[in-house]
Amino acid sequence: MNRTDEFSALMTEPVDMPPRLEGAVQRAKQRHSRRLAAKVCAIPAASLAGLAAAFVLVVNLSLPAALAAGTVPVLKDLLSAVAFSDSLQMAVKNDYIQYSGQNQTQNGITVAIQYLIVDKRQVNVLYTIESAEGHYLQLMPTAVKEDGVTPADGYIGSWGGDPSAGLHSLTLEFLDGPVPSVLHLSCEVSAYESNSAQAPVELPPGQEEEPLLGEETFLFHLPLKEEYTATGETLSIGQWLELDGQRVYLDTIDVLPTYTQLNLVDDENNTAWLRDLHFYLEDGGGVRYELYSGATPTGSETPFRAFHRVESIYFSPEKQYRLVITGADWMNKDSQWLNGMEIGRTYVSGELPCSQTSLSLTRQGDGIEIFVHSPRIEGCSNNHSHLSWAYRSGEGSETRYFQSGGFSPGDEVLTEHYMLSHYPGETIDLGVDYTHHTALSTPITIDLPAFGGQ
Amino acid sequence: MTQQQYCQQAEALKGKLYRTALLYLGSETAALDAVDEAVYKGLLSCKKLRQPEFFTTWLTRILLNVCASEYRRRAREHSMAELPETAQEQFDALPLKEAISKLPRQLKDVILLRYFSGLTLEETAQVLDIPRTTVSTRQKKALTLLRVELTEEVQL
Repeated sequence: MNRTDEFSALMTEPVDMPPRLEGAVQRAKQRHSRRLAAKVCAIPAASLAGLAAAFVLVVNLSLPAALAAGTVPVLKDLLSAVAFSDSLQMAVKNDYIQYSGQNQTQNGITVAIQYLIVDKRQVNVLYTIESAEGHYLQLMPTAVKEDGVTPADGYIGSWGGDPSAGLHSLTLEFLDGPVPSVLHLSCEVSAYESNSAQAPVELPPGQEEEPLLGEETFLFHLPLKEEYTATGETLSIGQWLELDGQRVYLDTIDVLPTYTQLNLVDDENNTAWLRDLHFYLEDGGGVRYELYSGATPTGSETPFRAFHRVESIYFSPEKQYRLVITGADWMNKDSQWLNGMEIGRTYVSGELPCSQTSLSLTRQGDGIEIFVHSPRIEGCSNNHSHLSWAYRSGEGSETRYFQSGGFSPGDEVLTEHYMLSHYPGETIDLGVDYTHHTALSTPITIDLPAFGGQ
Repeated sequence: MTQQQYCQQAEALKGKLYRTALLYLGSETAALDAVDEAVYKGLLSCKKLRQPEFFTTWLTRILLNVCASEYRRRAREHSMAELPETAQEQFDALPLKEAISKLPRQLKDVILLRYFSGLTLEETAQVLDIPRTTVSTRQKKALTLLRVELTEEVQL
């Protein structure tokens, strides 16, 4: 090959792009942000509050500063860890956070409890976990009693996400009383070779789960400051609400740093259980607080849901709000289950208690696949699934729960999807979450008493 | 140009930048470093770019400057000095890629921009801030040193 041919070949020779090239622009942005962050962190601030105030001020001034704010050490990690919750983000920005700084290492696994966001009812734990071997880790928390072993009473926990990097959060909700003065937290950490452990819990028959490499249990004793555990206020409403022939008593509203909760009482004469109340709180300036990103306990032993949450108004400078109710979801008391649904059939509106809904059940190998389609409820910001994810093979049999599926809220049609990889029966009973929806053409508005707040 | 616009365009151009840097410096690691440095420098000054239509030539120029600095540094460390235009026999003895990397900087820039970065004569002139005729002259000299004969159709 002469030089000309060689040159021509070189011109068109494909060049392997190294994987590291992919992050070139991102690295430049991060480097730029660090450069700006060095200026932000130079602001004299003896406390996190001072830095938070400077953070808020700087963010509002310019885009480069906003980029810098996204990478300010500590704040960036905190905000990222609570990005799912507007309430917790406001808590961080208002310096409503308790530093913990406890860490333990066992067999190459380190768990560090970094911060706590606490109020009367809820403890949010911000933590990191690391494997010296680079293994994929999963953490399961349990609140325990002082003996370090016996599970504590009257609480529920929620956690999740990929804990493999950065700061993460878990939430413990104490239902029967205030949070304890010391949280005894047991953390069971499992190590896997890779994150295939996050694959759907239900594996096809014969497929083995990712081998567990090791398990360690860590016990933390976390004192909770009284200035946080005493925080929260309850406002009285004391009114009956009548909707669609059903009656519900609006009892109180809890205003906490981590959420705002409307507490309801059922009328035993109702023919349907309230499953969801669609509402928001609105201040004098028209700012709305609606939806809540965390898990809400039902507050009831029946399908009636007593607790309904929106994001917290605690840190807002406004102290006067009105409650605006736009609708509700109900479940007829005689329609908790769709019994004897045949595999291979499609059911349409009229055959189901849920109006304007279709439900199809399809055999897929040894398993089944279920789709539910329903129209999106206009004006409702909280459309959710009709089915409850529960199923059973027949009345009286054990209730189980679907492990695979999803919910897709499209622009006009909501799609629910449920899967079982192995189901031998020809029929199945499906748990119902709600059967019908009430939409108020004119919302019901109730003025609330003022609260003290921060 | 806003930072967002810059990032989008830099993302699209990074492959070509890498190819140019690789040929210039002859090392994957050095080329990646050069691209990182050039993209970062471009981000710092993107707001000064008043005519976004010249983005490619502008960022390529930044890259060439970065490559030239890096080449000088590596040349001191690794005896990789460029060869003078008069060293025809030495160029003949080298593999083509190495011969390109040892071209005098002024000639190398033109070759890399014209044949490996896909720039036209006009764009190359803009990047290097030299007249078109100068680009043509340097292009011919470089191709002669490399013993490469290209027709107009082959040239990009």
